[in-house]
Amino acid sequence: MTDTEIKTPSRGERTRTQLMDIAMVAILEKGYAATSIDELITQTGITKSGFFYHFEDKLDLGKQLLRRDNEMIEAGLTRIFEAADELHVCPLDALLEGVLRYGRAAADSPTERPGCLAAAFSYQEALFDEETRALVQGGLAFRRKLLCERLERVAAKYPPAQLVDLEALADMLVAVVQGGMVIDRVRESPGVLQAQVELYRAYLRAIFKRPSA
Amino acid sequence: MTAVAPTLSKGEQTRERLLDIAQHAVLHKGFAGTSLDEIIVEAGITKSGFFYHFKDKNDLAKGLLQRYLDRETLLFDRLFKQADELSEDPLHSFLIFLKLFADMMGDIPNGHPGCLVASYCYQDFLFSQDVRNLNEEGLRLWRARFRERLELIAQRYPPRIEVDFDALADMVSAVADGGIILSRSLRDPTLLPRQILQYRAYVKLVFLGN
Repeated sequence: MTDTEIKTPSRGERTRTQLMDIAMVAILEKGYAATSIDELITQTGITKSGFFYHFEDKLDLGKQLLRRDNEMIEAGLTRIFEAADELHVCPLDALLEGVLRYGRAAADSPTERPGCLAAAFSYQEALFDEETRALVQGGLAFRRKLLCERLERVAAKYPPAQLVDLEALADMLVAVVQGGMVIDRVRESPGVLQAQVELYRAYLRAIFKRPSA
Repeated sequence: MTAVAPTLSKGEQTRERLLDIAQHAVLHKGFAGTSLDEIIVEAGITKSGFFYHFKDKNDLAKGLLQRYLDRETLLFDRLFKQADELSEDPLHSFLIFLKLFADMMGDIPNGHPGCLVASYCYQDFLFSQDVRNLNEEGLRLWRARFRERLELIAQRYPPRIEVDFDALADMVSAVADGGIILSRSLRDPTLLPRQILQYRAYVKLVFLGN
């Protein structure tokens, strides 16, 4: 889900990116409180004042990480579903394709095990300020909204046989991706996340039946 | 979630209290963000009193997780028992169980306090291997437990759509953990029970069709 813009980053930008990448991995593996500014500067080989040139403090680093993560996920998901639209005229096929790719993107992580920064932060929310919590909220709200719109389009074309709570159905994908990540992380054997996304796709196919030709 | 039996000794009561305080702190600030000192101060005991119950912080982490898993097991035992008493049919009993589970999650004031399994997985480099093993064991047991139910159902109700039973069993944990994360982050306690009901609708669709 990274942007491949052709632009040579300055040395300062590269250091900043490197700091953020290292911090992201540390926070996903041991949490925010256990991640120290000292270890980050040691690993990047910069000075403390170098760190503070890029970030006001640790909280600021946390916010910028979340902001970057949100932007990457928003851009990535938008791209995924646009690509799915180009491949399929049928909104159901496009949704199924998009969900499949979303699952793959979610499993692709800078750490060995998949993980989500928003989830990690949600379990340490008391350490943050309101702005940080709003960023966590915003990232998840975007995913839910995007999926909800897609589901509405599909439901308009193939009305489900039974009443379906589309908002809950949209949340269900976000939930099983989050829950699948948790299980994969705990079991340390990948595959649960993908299996959950596959199971979700089977659910969509069962709900939205195409009239048989 | 379960009432503590009134027969606990004073020492056991202190231990429970320490665990309650620690659990609340860990679920909101994480493990590294929680200090032993703050737990000791809040419990109003001495440092040596604390170390009488827990060897160190890792031992506390293990004690917390063990108690959490035991309580979940008891809760599921109780809900399954209630459901089995209401229906002998394996599908209906499972659907009743899920409804009871959703209702119970919806009744928690201010929403679910958080799942230690999920909380631990985002900081488990801090823990010893036996804590990680305990967490893994918990999820393995839940999969086995739900899978057993699903297989019983399938004997009477052949699935209408092809699904992987391990995945369908894992989905209980996935929607619960994912639902808790959504509820916490979006600050809407109703999201968790709604996810459990959504899973219930899926199970119905698998075994009964549209």
